[in-house]
Amino acid sequence: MRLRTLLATAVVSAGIPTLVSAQQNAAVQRAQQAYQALDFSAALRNAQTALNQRLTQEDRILTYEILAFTYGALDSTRQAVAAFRELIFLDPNREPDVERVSPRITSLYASALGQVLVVRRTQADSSSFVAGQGMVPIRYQVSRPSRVFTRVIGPGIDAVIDSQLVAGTGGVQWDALGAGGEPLPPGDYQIVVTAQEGRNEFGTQLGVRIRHAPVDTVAHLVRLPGYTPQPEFVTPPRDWKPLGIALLATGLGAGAAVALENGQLEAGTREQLGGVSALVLITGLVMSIKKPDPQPVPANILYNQLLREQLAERNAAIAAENAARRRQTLLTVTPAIGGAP
Amino acid sequence: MRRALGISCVFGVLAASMASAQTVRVGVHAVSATLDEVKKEKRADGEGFGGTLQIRFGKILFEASGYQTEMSPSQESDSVDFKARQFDVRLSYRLATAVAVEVGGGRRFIDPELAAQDVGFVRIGVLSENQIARIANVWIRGAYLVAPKFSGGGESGLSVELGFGAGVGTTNGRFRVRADYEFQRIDRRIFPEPAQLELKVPIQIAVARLGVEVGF
Repeated sequence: MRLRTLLATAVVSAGIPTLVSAQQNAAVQRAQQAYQALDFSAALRNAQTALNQRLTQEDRILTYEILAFTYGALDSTRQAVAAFRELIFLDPNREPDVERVSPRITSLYASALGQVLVVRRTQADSSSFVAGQGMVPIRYQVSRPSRVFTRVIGPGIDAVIDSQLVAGTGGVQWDALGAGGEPLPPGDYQIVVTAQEGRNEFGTQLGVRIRHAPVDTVAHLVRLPGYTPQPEFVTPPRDWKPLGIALLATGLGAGAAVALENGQLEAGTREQLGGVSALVLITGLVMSIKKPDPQPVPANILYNQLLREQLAERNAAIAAENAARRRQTLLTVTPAIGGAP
Repeated sequence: MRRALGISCVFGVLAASMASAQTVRVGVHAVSATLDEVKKEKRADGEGFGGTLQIRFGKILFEASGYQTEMSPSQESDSVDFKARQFDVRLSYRLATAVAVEVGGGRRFIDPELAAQDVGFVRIGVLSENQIARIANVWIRGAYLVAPKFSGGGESGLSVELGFGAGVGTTNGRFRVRADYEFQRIDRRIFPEPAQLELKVPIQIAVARLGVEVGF
Protein backbone atom coordinates (compact mmCIF):
# COMPACT_ATOMS: atom_id res chain seq x y z
CA MET A 1 0.00 0.00 0.00
CA ARG A 2 2.81 2.35 0.85
CA LEU A 3 4.65 1.52 -2.35
CA ARG A 4 1.46 1.96 -4.41
CA THR A 5 0.79 5.33 -2.86
CA LEU A 6 4.33 6.51 -3.49
CA LEU A 7 4.18 5.34 -7.09
CA ALA A 8 0.87 7.09 -7.67
CA THR A 9 2.21 10.18 -5.98
CA ALA A 10 5.28 10.20 -8.17
CA VAL A 11 3.10 10.08 -11.25
CA VAL A 12 0.63 12.63 -9.90
CA SER A 13 3.42 15.01 -9.00
CA ALA A 14 4.23 15.30 -12.64
CA GLY A 15 0.94 17.16 -13.00
CA ILE A 16 1.93 19.78 -10.47
CA PRO A 17 3.60 22.12 -12.96
CA THR A 18 0.28 22.30 -14.71
CA LEU A 19 -1.18 23.96 -11.66
CA VAL A 20 -1.18 27.65 -12.10
CA SER A 21 1.23 29.31 -9.77
CA ALA A 22 -0.17 32.80 -10.05
CA GLN A 23 -2.27 32.39 -6.93
CA GLN A 24 -2.35 35.15 -4.35
CA ASN A 25 -3.80 33.41 -1.36
CA ALA A 26 -1.22 32.24 1.19
CA ALA A 27 -3.16 29.13 2.17
CA VAL A 28 -3.40 28.08 -1.42
CA GLN A 29 0.32 28.67 -1.81
CA ARG A 30 1.05 26.55 1.21
CA ALA A 31 -1.27 23.80 -0.04
CA GLN A 32 0.49 23.71 -3.36
CA GLN A 33 3.95 23.64 -1.74
CA ALA A 34 2.82 20.83 0.58
CA TYR A 35 1.43 18.90 -2.38
CA GLN A 36 4.69 19.31 -4.27
CA ALA A 37 6.53 18.12 -1.15
CA LEU A 38 4.25 15.09 -1.07
CA ASP A 39 2.92 16.23 2.32
CA PHE A 40 -0.65 15.37 1.49
CA SER A 41 -2.10 15.93 4.96
CA ALA A 42 -0.70 19.47 4.98
CA ALA A 43 -1.90 19.96 1.47
CA LEU A 44 -5.43 18.88 2.46
CA ARG A 45 -5.39 21.03 5.59
CA ASN A 46 -4.23 24.14 3.78
CA ALA A 47 -6.63 23.58 0.92
CA GLN A 48 -9.58 23.24 3.27
CA THR A 49 -8.42 26.37 5.08
CA ALA A 50 -8.22 28.22 1.81
CA LEU A 51 -11.77 27.21 0.85
CA ASN A 52 -13.05 28.86 3.98
CA GLN A 53 -11.49 32.12 2.88
CA ARG A 54 -12.51 34.57 0.21
CA LEU A 55 -10.73 33.37 -2.94
CA THR A 56 -10.46 34.56 -6.44
CA GLN A 57 -11.95 32.35 -9.15
CA GLU A 58 -8.52 31.22 -10.19
CA ASP A 59 -7.47 30.39 -6.58
CA ARG A 60 -10.70 28.52 -6.04
CA ILE A 61 -10.12 26.46 -9.16
CA LEU A 62 -6.55 25.77 -8.11
CA THR A 63 -7.62 24.76 -4.61
CA TYR A 64 -10.15 22.24 -5.84
CA GLU A 65 -7.58 20.92 -8.25
CA ILE A 66 -5.06 20.38 -5.40
CA LEU A 67 -7.79 18.72 -3.38
CA ALA A 68 -8.80 16.42 -6.20
CA PHE A 69 -5.21 15.45 -6.99
CA THR A 70 -4.41 14.93 -3.31
CA TYR A 71 -7.48 12.80 -2.68
CA GLY A 72 -6.63 10.88 -5.80
CA ALA A 73 -3.11 10.27 -4.51
CA LEU A 74 -4.56 9.09 -1.21
CA ASP A 75 -7.01 6.73 -2.96
CA SER A 76 -9.95 8.70 -1.57
CA THR A 77 -12.05 8.19 -4.64
CA ARG A 78 -15.32 9.71 -3.45
CA GLN A 79 -13.66 12.89 -2.21
CA ALA A 80 -11.52 13.13 -5.32
CA VAL A 81 -14.57 12.86 -7.60
CA ALA A 82 -16.41 15.42 -5.50
CA ALA A 83 -13.46 17.82 -5.77
CA PHE A 84 -13.27 17.28 -9.54
CA ARG A 85 -17.03 17.97 -9.83
CA GLU A 86 -16.53 21.32 -8.16
CA LEU A 87 -13.56 21.97 -10.42
CA ILE A 88 -15.62 21.10 -13.52
CA PHE A 89 -18.41 23.45 -12.50
CA LEU A 90 -15.91 26.22 -11.97
CA ASP A 91 -14.01 25.64 -15.17
CA PRO A 92 -15.48 23.01 -17.47
CA ASN A 93 -12.60 23.34 -19.92
CA ARG A 94 -9.93 22.56 -17.36
CA GLU A 95 -8.93 18.91 -17.26
CA PRO A 96 -5.87 16.85 -16.37
CA ASP A 97 -3.23 16.52 -19.01
CA VAL A 98 -3.43 12.89 -20.03
CA GLU A 99 0.21 13.02 -21.15
CA ARG A 100 1.48 13.92 -17.68
CA VAL A 101 -1.09 12.72 -15.17
CA SER A 102 -1.72 9.18 -14.12
CA PRO A 103 -4.60 7.32 -15.72
CA ARG A 104 -6.08 6.95 -12.31
CA ILE A 105 -6.46 10.67 -11.89
CA THR A 106 -7.88 11.08 -15.41
CA SER A 107 -10.36 8.27 -14.74
CA LEU A 108 -11.46 10.03 -11.58
CA TYR A 109 -11.87 13.20 -13.61
CA ALA A 110 -13.91 11.33 -16.25
CA SER A 111 -16.05 9.84 -13.52
CA ALA A 112 -16.75 13.29 -12.12
CA LEU A 113 -17.48 14.66 -15.58
CA GLY A 114 -20.08 11.94 -16.17
CA GLN A 115 -21.91 12.97 -13.03
CA VAL A 116 -22.44 16.62 -13.93
CA LEU A 117 -24.04 18.48 -16.79
CA VAL A 118 -21.71 21.10 -18.30
CA VAL A 119 -21.07 22.65 -21.66
CA ARG A 120 -17.41 22.60 -22.55
CA ARG A 121 -15.05 23.70 -25.27
CA THR A 122 -17.42 26.21 -26.73
CA GLN A 123 -15.65 27.83 -29.67
CA ALA A 124 -16.33 29.75 -32.82
CA ASP A 125 -13.88 29.80 -35.70
CA SER A 126 -12.96 33.13 -37.20
CA SER A 127 -14.93 33.57 -40.40
CA SER A 128 -15.16 36.14 -43.14
CA PHE A 129 -18.01 35.95 -45.63
CA VAL A 130 -20.50 37.99 -47.58
CA ALA A 131 -23.61 38.55 -45.51
CA GLY A 132 -26.20 35.96 -46.43
CA GLN A 133 -23.70 33.73 -48.19
CA GLY A 134 -21.79 32.23 -45.31
CA MET A 135 -22.00 30.90 -41.76
CA VAL A 136 -19.98 30.98 -38.58
CA PRO A 137 -19.41 27.47 -37.20
CA ILE A 138 -19.96 27.25 -33.45
CA ARG A 139 -19.02 24.02 -31.70
CA TYR A 140 -19.36 22.75 -28.14
CA GLN A 141 -19.40 19.59 -26.07
CA VAL A 142 -21.88 18.52 -23.41
CA SER A 143 -20.90 16.12 -20.69
CA ARG A 144 -24.28 14.34 -20.73
CA PRO A 145 -27.01 13.95 -23.37
CA SER A 146 -29.19 17.02 -23.07
CA ARG A 147 -31.14 19.65 -24.99
CA VAL A 148 -28.90 22.53 -25.93
CA PHE A 149 -30.10 26.03 -26.72
CA THR A 150 -27.85 28.48 -28.48
CA ARG A 151 -28.68 32.12 -28.04
CA VAL A 152 -27.16 35.30 -29.45
CA ILE A 153 -27.18 38.48 -27.42
CA GLY A 154 -25.84 41.73 -28.71
CA PRO A 155 -26.68 45.09 -30.29
CA GLY A 156 -30.19 44.78 -31.64
CA ILE A 157 -30.57 41.07 -31.13
CA ASP A 158 -31.47 38.65 -28.36
CA ALA A 159 -32.66 35.48 -29.97
CA VAL A 160 -32.35 31.74 -29.76
CA ILE A 161 -30.74 30.60 -32.99
CA ASP A 162 -30.68 26.87 -32.37
CA SER A 163 -32.14 24.15 -30.20
CA GLN A 164 -31.22 20.51 -30.47
CA LEU A 165 -30.63 17.32 -28.54
CA VAL A 166 -26.92 16.72 -28.21
CA ALA A 167 -24.87 13.84 -26.91
CA GLY A 168 -21.19 14.57 -26.89
CA THR A 169 -20.22 17.09 -29.53
CA GLY A 170 -22.71 19.50 -31.02
CA GLY A 171 -22.64 22.59 -33.14
CA VAL A 172 -24.57 25.21 -35.00
CA GLN A 173 -24.01 27.31 -38.10
CA TRP A 174 -24.75 30.96 -37.42
CA ASP A 175 -25.47 33.28 -40.36
CA ALA A 176 -24.92 36.48 -38.32
CA LEU A 177 -28.09 37.98 -39.79
CA GLY A 178 -30.87 39.79 -38.04
CA ALA A 179 -34.52 38.82 -38.03
CA GLY A 180 -35.10 40.64 -41.30
CA GLY A 181 -32.16 39.02 -43.01
CA GLU A 182 -30.00 42.10 -42.68
CA PRO A 183 -26.42 41.73 -41.45
CA LEU A 184 -26.06 42.36 -37.74
CA PRO A 185 -24.41 45.68 -36.95
CA PRO A 186 -20.75 45.67 -36.00
CA GLY A 187 -20.03 45.11 -32.35
CA ASP A 188 -19.49 42.56 -29.62
CA TYR A 189 -21.96 39.71 -29.20
CA GLN A 190 -22.34 36.88 -26.72
CA ILE A 191 -23.09 33.35 -27.83
CA VAL A 192 -24.77 31.68 -24.89
CA VAL A 193 -24.95 27.90 -25.02
CA THR A 194 -27.26 26.36 -22.41
CA ALA A 195 -27.70 22.64 -21.81
CA GLN A 196 -30.82 21.33 -20.04
CA GLU A 197 -31.36 17.86 -18.69
CA GLY A 198 -34.37 17.55 -16.46
CA ARG A 199 -33.89 20.12 -13.74
CA ASN A 200 -30.20 20.36 -14.40
CA GLU A 201 -29.07 23.29 -16.46
CA PHE A 202 -25.68 24.64 -17.35
CA GLY A 203 -24.81 27.59 -19.53
CA THR A 204 -21.65 28.99 -20.98
CA GLN A 205 -21.00 31.95 -23.18
CA LEU A 206 -18.60 32.89 -25.90
CA GLY A 207 -17.84 36.42 -26.96
CA VAL A 208 -17.54 37.21 -30.66
CA ARG A 209 -16.93 40.45 -32.49
CA ILE A 210 -18.54 41.33 -35.79
CA ARG A 211 -16.92 43.78 -38.17
CA HIS A 212 -18.22 45.15 -41.46
CA ALA A 213 -16.25 45.77 -44.63
CA PRO A 214 -17.14 46.45 -48.26
CA VAL A 215 -16.99 43.46 -50.56
CA ASP A 216 -14.10 43.49 -53.00
CA THR A 217 -15.11 44.17 -56.59
CA VAL A 218 -13.79 42.28 -59.57
CA ALA A 219 -11.53 44.02 -62.10
CA HIS A 220 -12.81 44.28 -65.63
CA LEU A 221 -11.11 42.18 -68.27
CA VAL A 222 -9.12 43.70 -71.09
CA ARG A 223 -8.55 40.35 -72.75
CA LEU A 224 -9.80 36.84 -72.37
CA PRO A 225 -7.22 34.71 -70.59
CA GLY A 226 -5.87 32.04 -72.89
CA TYR A 227 -7.22 33.63 -76.06
CA THR A 228 -5.20 35.85 -78.37
CA PRO A 229 -6.81 38.04 -81.02
CA GLN A 230 -5.85 37.03 -84.53
CA PRO A 231 -4.70 39.42 -87.29
CA GLU A 232 -7.73 40.46 -89.32
CA PHE A 233 -5.66 41.41 -92.36
CA VAL A 234 -2.87 39.30 -93.74
CA THR A 235 -0.58 40.23 -96.60
CA PRO A 236 -0.77 37.37 -99.08
CA PRO A 237 2.27 36.19 -101.00
CA ARG A 238 2.94 38.00 -104.25
CA ASP A 239 1.13 36.44 -107.18
CA TRP A 240 0.49 37.10 -110.85
CA LYS A 241 -3.27 37.05 -110.68
CA PRO A 242 -3.64 40.79 -111.44
CA LEU A 243 -1.54 40.43 -114.55
CA GLY A 244 -3.48 37.31 -115.52
CA ILE A 245 -6.79 39.10 -115.22
CA ALA A 246 -5.45 42.08 -117.15
CA LEU A 247 -4.17 39.74 -119.85
CA LEU A 248 -7.50 37.97 -120.01
CA ALA A 249 -9.49 41.19 -120.22
CA THR A 250 -7.14 42.66 -122.82
CA GLY A 251 -7.05 39.48 -124.84
CA LEU A 252 -10.79 39.12 -124.87
CA GLY A 253 -11.49 42.77 -125.51
CA ALA A 254 -8.84 43.40 -128.11
CA GLY A 255 -9.34 40.03 -129.75
CA ALA A 256 -13.06 40.50 -130.01
CA ALA A 257 -12.63 44.04 -131.31
CA VAL A 258 -10.29 42.87 -134.06
CA ALA A 259 -12.51 39.90 -134.85
CA LEU A 260 -15.58 42.09 -135.07
CA GLU A 261 -14.07 44.63 -137.40
CA ASN A 262 -16.11 44.94 -140.53
CA GLY A 263 -14.25 43.55 -143.49
CA GLN A 264 -15.82 46.07 -145.80
CA LEU A 265 -14.15 48.87 -143.88
CA GLU A 266 -10.78 47.17 -143.69
CA ALA A 267 -8.53 47.35 -140.67
CA GLY A 268 -7.61 50.72 -139.30
CA THR A 269 -4.46 51.72 -137.48
CA ARG A 270 -5.75 50.31 -134.18
CA GLU A 271 -3.75 52.91 -132.30
CA GLN A 272 -6.45 53.36 -129.71
CA LEU A 273 -6.74 49.62 -129.21
CA GLY A 274 -3.01 49.19 -128.83
CA GLY A 275 -2.64 52.09 -126.45
CA VAL A 276 -5.40 51.08 -124.09
CA SER A 277 -4.32 47.43 -124.21
CA ALA A 278 -0.82 48.46 -123.19
CA LEU A 279 -2.10 50.56 -120.33
CA VAL A 280 -4.30 47.74 -119.02
CA LEU A 281 -1.42 45.27 -119.23
CA ILE A 282 0.92 47.69 -117.47
CA THR A 283 -1.67 48.12 -114.74
CA GLY A 284 -1.87 44.36 -114.28
CA LEU A 285 1.90 44.00 -114.28
CA VAL A 286 2.44 46.76 -111.73
CA MET A 287 -0.25 45.36 -109.48
CA SER A 288 1.40 41.94 -109.66
CA ILE A 289 4.88 43.26 -108.92
CA LYS A 290 3.97 45.59 -106.09
CA LYS A 291 3.56 44.27 -102.58
CA PRO A 292 0.08 42.79 -102.35
CA ASP A 293 -2.49 44.61 -100.33
CA PRO A 294 -3.35 43.04 -96.99
CA GLN A 295 -6.41 40.88 -97.36
CA PRO A 296 -9.09 40.42 -94.74
CA VAL A 297 -9.19 36.99 -93.11
CA PRO A 298 -12.88 36.24 -92.54
CA ALA A 299 -12.19 33.43 -90.06
CA ASN A 300 -9.97 35.68 -87.96
CA ILE A 301 -12.45 38.54 -88.17
CA LEU A 302 -15.21 36.24 -86.94
CA TYR A 303 -12.91 34.85 -84.25
CA ASN A 304 -12.00 38.33 -83.04
CA GLN A 305 -15.61 39.38 -83.15
CA LEU A 306 -16.48 36.36 -81.04
CA LEU A 307 -13.72 37.27 -78.60
CA ARG A 308 -14.96 40.85 -78.40
CA GLU A 309 -18.50 39.64 -77.80
CA GLN A 310 -17.34 37.20 -75.14
CA LEU A 311 -15.25 39.93 -73.52
CA ALA A 312 -18.19 42.30 -73.56
CA GLU A 313 -20.43 39.63 -72.05
CA ARG A 314 -17.88 38.84 -69.35
CA ASN A 315 -17.42 42.51 -68.52
CA ALA A 316 -21.17 43.05 -68.45
CA ALA A 317 -21.45 40.12 -66.05
CA ILE A 318 -18.59 41.54 -63.99
CA ALA A 319 -20.24 44.95 -63.93
CA ALA A 320 -23.50 43.39 -62.78
CA GLU A 321 -21.66 41.35 -60.18
CA ASN A 322 -19.77 44.43 -58.98
CA ALA A 323 -23.01 46.36 -58.72
CA ALA A 324 -24.40 43.56 -56.58
CA ARG A 325 -21.19 43.37 -54.54
CA ARG A 326 -21.32 47.10 -53.80
CA ARG A 327 -24.67 46.48 -52.13
CA GLN A 328 -23.27 43.59 -50.09
CA THR A 329 -21.44 43.60 -46.78
CA LEU A 330 -18.45 41.51 -45.86
CA LEU A 331 -18.87 40.20 -42.35
CA THR A 332 -15.85 39.19 -40.30
CA VAL A 333 -16.64 37.30 -37.13
CA THR A 334 -13.84 36.66 -34.66
CA PRO A 335 -13.85 35.42 -31.10
CA ALA A 336 -13.61 38.46 -28.86
CA ILE A 337 -10.46 38.70 -26.76
CA GLY A 338 -11.38 37.77 -23.25
CA GLY A 339 -14.84 36.87 -24.37
CA ALA A 340 -14.57 33.21 -23.56
CA PRO A 341 -16.28 32.03 -20.35
CA MET B 1 -34.88 56.45 -129.59
CA ARG B 2 -35.13 59.60 -127.54
CA ARG B 3 -37.65 57.83 -125.34
CA ALA B 4 -35.26 54.94 -124.71
CA LEU B 5 -32.52 57.35 -123.82
CA GLY B 6 -34.83 59.20 -121.49
CA ILE B 7 -35.95 56.00 -119.74
CA SER B 8 -32.35 55.00 -119.21
CA CYS B 9 -31.62 58.37 -117.69
CA VAL B 10 -34.58 58.09 -115.34
CA PHE B 11 -33.46 54.65 -114.21
CA GLY B 12 -30.02 55.98 -113.61
CA VAL B 13 -31.21 58.92 -111.56
CA LEU B 14 -33.55 56.70 -109.54
CA ALA B 15 -30.80 54.28 -108.77
CA ALA B 16 -28.54 57.11 -107.80
CA SER B 17 -31.06 58.67 -105.49
CA MET B 18 -31.76 55.45 -103.58
CA ALA B 19 -30.87 56.28 -100.03
CA SER B 20 -27.34 57.59 -99.96
CA ALA B 21 -25.06 56.64 -102.76
CA GLN B 22 -22.11 54.54 -101.75
CA THR B 23 -19.68 56.05 -104.21
CA VAL B 24 -19.95 58.95 -106.62
CA ARG B 25 -17.25 59.62 -109.17
CA VAL B 26 -16.92 62.49 -111.57
CA GLY B 27 -14.25 62.51 -114.20
CA VAL B 28 -12.94 64.18 -117.30
CA HIS B 29 -11.03 62.50 -120.05
CA ALA B 30 -9.28 63.00 -123.32
CA VAL B 31 -10.72 61.12 -126.25
CA SER B 32 -9.29 59.70 -129.40
CA ALA B 33 -11.78 58.29 -131.91
CA THR B 34 -11.85 56.68 -135.30
CA LEU B 35 -15.12 56.59 -137.20
CA ASP B 36 -15.59 54.45 -140.28
CA GLU B 37 -18.64 54.61 -142.44
CA VAL B 38 -19.44 52.85 -145.68
CA LYS B 39 -15.85 52.31 -146.76
CA LYS B 40 -12.34 52.86 -145.56
CA GLU B 41 -11.92 55.99 -147.68
CA LYS B 42 -14.51 57.74 -145.53
CA ARG B 43 -12.61 57.03 -142.31
CA ALA B 44 -12.32 59.99 -139.95
CA ASP B 45 -10.08 60.45 -136.96
CA GLY B 46 -10.20 62.97 -134.23
CA GLU B 47 -9.53 63.96 -130.68
CA GLY B 48 -11.62 65.62 -128.11
CA PHE B 49 -12.68 65.56 -124.52
CA GLY B 50 -15.46 64.19 -122.42
CA GLY B 51 -16.77 63.55 -118.96
CA THR B 52 -18.23 60.77 -116.86
CA LEU B 53 -20.46 60.43 -113.85
CA GLN B 54 -20.52 57.17 -111.93
CA ILE B 55 -22.81 56.39 -109.04
CA ARG B 56 -22.35 53.06 -107.33
CA PHE B 57 -24.85 51.85 -104.79
CA GLY B 58 -24.44 48.31 -103.59
CA LYS B 59 -24.83 46.06 -106.59
CA ILE B 60 -26.05 48.84 -108.84
CA LEU B 61 -23.77 50.95 -110.97
CA PHE B 62 -25.05 53.91 -112.94
CA GLU B 63 -22.77 55.53 -115.45
CA ALA B 64 -23.39 58.48 -117.70
CA SER B 65 -20.74 59.68 -120.08
CA GLY B 66 -20.31 61.90 -123.03
CA TYR B 67 -17.64 63.23 -125.30
CA GLN B 68 -17.10 65.49 -128.24
CA THR B 69 -14.46 65.06 -130.87
CA GLU B 70 -13.37 67.10 -133.82
CA MET B 71 -13.24 64.58 -136.64
CA SER B 72 -11.10 64.98 -139.74
CA PRO B 73 -11.81 62.70 -142.69
CA SER B 74 -8.95 60.98 -144.42
CA GLN B 75 -7.36 62.57 -147.42
CA GLU B 76 -9.14 60.23 -149.80
CA SER B 77 -12.49 61.29 -148.44
CA ASP B 78 -14.61 63.92 -150.09
CA SER B 79 -16.24 64.74 -146.76
CA VAL B 80 -15.67 67.76 -144.56
CA ASP B 81 -14.50 68.06 -140.98
CA PHE B 82 -17.26 67.49 -138.52
CA LYS B 83 -17.98 67.22 -134.82
CA ALA B 84 -19.13 64.03 -133.25
CA ARG B 85 -20.89 64.13 -129.87
CA GLN B 86 -21.87 60.95 -128.13
CA PHE B 87 -23.83 60.45 -124.92
CA ASP B 88 -24.19 57.12 -123.17
CA VAL B 89 -25.98 55.93 -120.08
CA ARG B 90 -25.53 52.54 -118.53
CA LEU B 91 -27.19 50.88 -115.57
CA SER B 92 -25.74 47.62 -114.38
CA TYR B 93 -26.73 45.22 -111.69
CA ARG B 94 -24.13 42.85 -110.26
CA LEU B 95 -25.27 39.24 -110.28
CA ALA B 96 -22.05 37.69 -109.04
CA THR B 97 -18.61 38.83 -107.96
CA ALA B 98 -17.48 39.80 -111.45
CA VAL B 99 -20.62 39.51 -113.53
CA ALA B 100 -23.23 42.20 -114.02
CA VAL B 101 -26.02 42.72 -116.50
CA GLU B 102 -26.11 46.06 -118.16
CA VAL B 103 -28.78 48.05 -119.92
CA GLY B 104 -28.63 51.53 -121.32
CA GLY B 105 -28.74 53.65 -124.34
CA GLY B 106 -26.61 55.92 -126.47
CA ARG B 107 -26.93 58.71 -128.94
CA ARG B 108 -24.35 60.08 -131.33
CA PHE B 109 -24.83 63.42 -133.01
CA ILE B 110 -22.92 64.58 -136.02
CA ASP B 111 -22.46 68.20 -136.93
CA PRO B 112 -22.87 69.11 -139.76
CA GLU B 113 -25.70 66.70 -140.15
CA LEU B 114 -24.79 65.10 -143.46
CA ALA B 115 -21.12 64.50 -142.68
CA ALA B 116 -21.93 61.15 -141.04
CA GLN B 117 -24.86 59.32 -139.55
CA ASP B 118 -26.53 60.28 -136.32
CA VAL B 119 -27.11 57.07 -134.44
CA GLY B 120 -29.30 56.17 -131.51
CA PHE B 121 -29.57 52.80 -129.84
CA VAL B 122 -30.49 50.82 -126.76
CA ARG B 123 -27.91 48.44 -125.38
CA ILE B 124 -28.30 45.19 -123.44
CA GLY B 125 -25.15 43.49 -122.34
CA VAL B 126 -22.90 42.21 -119.63
CA LEU B 127 -20.14 43.80 -117.60
CA SER B 128 -17.32 41.98 -115.89
CA GLU B 129 -15.42 44.07 -113.40
CA ASN B 130 -12.45 42.68 -111.46
CA GLN B 131 -10.75 44.31 -108.55
CA ILE B 132 -7.18 43.17 -109.20
CA ALA B 133 -5.84 45.15 -106.23
CA ARG B 134 -7.26 47.40 -103.62
CA ILE B 135 -6.45 50.40 -105.78
CA ALA B 136 -6.92 48.97 -109.26
CA ASN B 137 -9.62 47.33 -111.29
CA VAL B 138 -10.02 45.98 -114.79
CA TRP B 139 -13.25 45.62 -116.66
CA ILE B 140 -14.58 44.28 -119.91
CA ARG B 141 -18.04 44.74 -121.29
CA GLY B 142 -20.03 43.66 -124.30
CA ALA B 143 -23.50 44.62 -125.46
CA TYR B 144 -25.96 44.00 -128.18
CA LEU B 145 -27.37 47.18 -129.68
CA VAL B 146 -31.10 46.90 -130.03
CA ALA B 147 -32.61 48.33 -133.23
CA PRO B 148 -30.29 51.25 -133.90
CA LYS B 149 -31.85 54.24 -135.60
CA PHE B 150 -30.07 56.46 -138.09
CA SER B 151 -30.61 59.97 -139.31
CA GLY B 152 -30.30 58.72 -142.86
CA GLY B 153 -32.69 55.83 -142.36
CA GLY B 154 -32.03 52.21 -142.97
CA GLU B 155 -31.91 49.21 -140.74
CA SER B 156 -29.20 47.20 -139.11
CA GLY B 157 -28.02 43.66 -139.02
CA LEU B 158 -25.30 42.83 -136.51
CA SER B 159 -24.96 45.65 -134.01
CA VAL B 160 -22.61 45.15 -131.12
CA GLU B 161 -20.25 47.05 -128.97
CA LEU B 162 -17.54 46.00 -126.59
CA GLY B 163 -15.08 47.68 -124.38
CA PHE B 164 -12.41 47.15 -121.76
CA GLY B 165 -10.27 49.25 -119.55
CA ALA B 166 -8.47 49.68 -116.29
CA GLY B 167 -8.46 52.13 -113.44
CA VAL B 168 -5.89 52.89 -110.76
CA GLY B 169 -6.55 55.14 -107.82
CA THR B 170 -5.48 56.20 -104.40
CA THR B 171 -6.10 53.97 -101.43
CA ASN B 172 -8.83 56.20 -100.09
CA GLY B 173 -10.59 56.19 -103.45
CA ARG B 174 -10.48 59.95 -103.82
CA PHE B 175 -8.55 60.11 -107.09
CA ARG B 176 -8.33 57.70 -109.95
CA VAL B 177 -6.85 57.44 -113.42
CA ARG B 178 -8.67 55.36 -115.98
CA ALA B 179 -8.09 54.26 -119.53
CA ASP B 180 -10.61 52.43 -121.60
CA TYR B 181 -11.37 51.43 -125.13
CA GLU B 182 -14.76 51.07 -126.77
CA PHE B 183 -15.54 49.55 -130.10
CA GLN B 184 -18.88 49.66 -131.83
CA ARG B 185 -19.95 47.94 -135.02
CA ILE B 186 -23.29 48.49 -136.71
CA ASP B 187 -24.00 46.71 -139.98
CA ARG B 188 -26.34 49.26 -141.46
CA ARG B 189 -28.26 48.54 -144.63
CA ILE B 190 -30.23 50.87 -146.76
CA PHE B 191 -32.62 50.28 -149.59
CA PRO B 192 -32.45 53.30 -151.86
CA GLU B 193 -35.24 54.11 -154.35
CA PRO B 194 -36.22 53.17 -156.89
CA ALA B 195 -34.75 49.69 -157.13
CA GLN B 196 -34.73 49.20 -153.36
CA LEU B 197 -31.70 47.00 -153.63
CA GLU B 198 -29.95 46.35 -150.37
CA LEU B 199 -26.88 48.47 -149.91
CA LYS B 200 -24.46 47.81 -147.07
CA VAL B 201 -23.28 50.98 -145.37
CA PRO B 202 -21.63 49.76 -142.15
CA ILE B 203 -20.67 52.07 -139.30
CA GLN B 204 -17.78 51.36 -137.00
CA ILE B 205 -16.25 53.52 -134.31
CA ALA B 206 -13.35 52.95 -131.97
CA VAL B 207 -12.83 55.26 -129.02
CA ALA B 208 -9.97 55.42 -126.55
CA ARG B 209 -10.30 57.48 -123.41
CA LEU B 210 -7.75 58.48 -120.83
CA GLY B 211 -8.86 60.54 -117.89
CA VAL B 212 -8.95 61.28 -114.21
CA GLU B 213 -11.78 60.93 -111.75
CA VAL B 214 -12.58 62.29 -108.35
CA GLY B 215 -14.54 60.18 -105.91
CA PHE B 216 -16.87 61.36 -103.17
